[in-house]
Amino acid sequence: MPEFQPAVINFKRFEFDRPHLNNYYWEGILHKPGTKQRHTEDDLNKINNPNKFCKELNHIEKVIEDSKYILNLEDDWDSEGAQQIPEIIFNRAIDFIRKYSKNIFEDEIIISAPIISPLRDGSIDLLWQSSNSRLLLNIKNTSELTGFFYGALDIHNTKNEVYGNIETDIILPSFKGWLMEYKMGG
Amino acid sequence: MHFNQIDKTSLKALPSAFVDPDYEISCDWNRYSTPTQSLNLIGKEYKKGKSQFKDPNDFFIVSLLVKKIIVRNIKQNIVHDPKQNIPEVIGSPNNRAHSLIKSEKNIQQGEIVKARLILSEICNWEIFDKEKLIHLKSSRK
Repeated sequence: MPEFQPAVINFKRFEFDRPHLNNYYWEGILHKPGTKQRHTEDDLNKINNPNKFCKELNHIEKVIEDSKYILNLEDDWDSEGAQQIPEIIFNRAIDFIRKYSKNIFEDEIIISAPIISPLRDGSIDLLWQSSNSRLLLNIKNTSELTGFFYGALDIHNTKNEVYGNIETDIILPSFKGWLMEYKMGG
Repeated sequence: MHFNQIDKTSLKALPSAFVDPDYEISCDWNRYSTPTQSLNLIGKEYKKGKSQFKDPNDFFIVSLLVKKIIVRNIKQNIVHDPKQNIPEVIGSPNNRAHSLIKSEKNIQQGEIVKARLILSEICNWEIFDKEKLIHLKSSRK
């Protein structure tokens, strides 16, 4: 019996619980190769929808959803002349979170969700924190895809710290390394 | 500090509260003021660029120890900057306690991020009401 590798398939082309699954063609698609273990619905969703946020990162998606009030803030939302947050800047921040979260998840690490907050100059802050360490990234309100960050392994003793700027549209291995400090339950 | 700059989960001030495009954060020196007086004064200030008074119910008060700011080496200087107009200007009340937390010249952007984070970590609540914060956040999102 040939061993089939799971392919990107149209999940809607067949029924998942079809009873007469004795045809090896169907078996290869619905079972993990070389096993009798069937793909779960999650597995098939990942195969069919590689861009969909997986359930292990739902906590991040929830925080993103809760932060959408930022898009409704009008000018002077702090009574001191604060700017409205441009949607493009908000989306840039959200894309950044999703991109790094998914990339780090591929290394089998689930990071915690950041605190997402608006600034009066129209930029967005992303703050990751654990008991002692902090990583703060400011997504600038500019056309350049730039953010400025500061990280400290111990906020009370900032000997091990880093700060600088990063491009927000690519995965920077060093920044990824710092983010991995903020795994869930850590 | 405006309620939009407070984290509703941890109930802590966020680094986003400590930013000003001119790199100067207004505050009051406790030698000449109390937290309650500072809060009352907010209600006598106009919103920026408008002839409309701020609502002090949208604000809470934190304190910062100058010693802690200096020790952390975050390139911030504290300057006494009293406001005095004769006669007093409506919407811009006289304030003997007014001071500024100013960033040093040539401070880098990453250092500004550091300063904002440290300031949010070392500040303490002087006037804070959890129930009021929750109500403000839920009713004005």
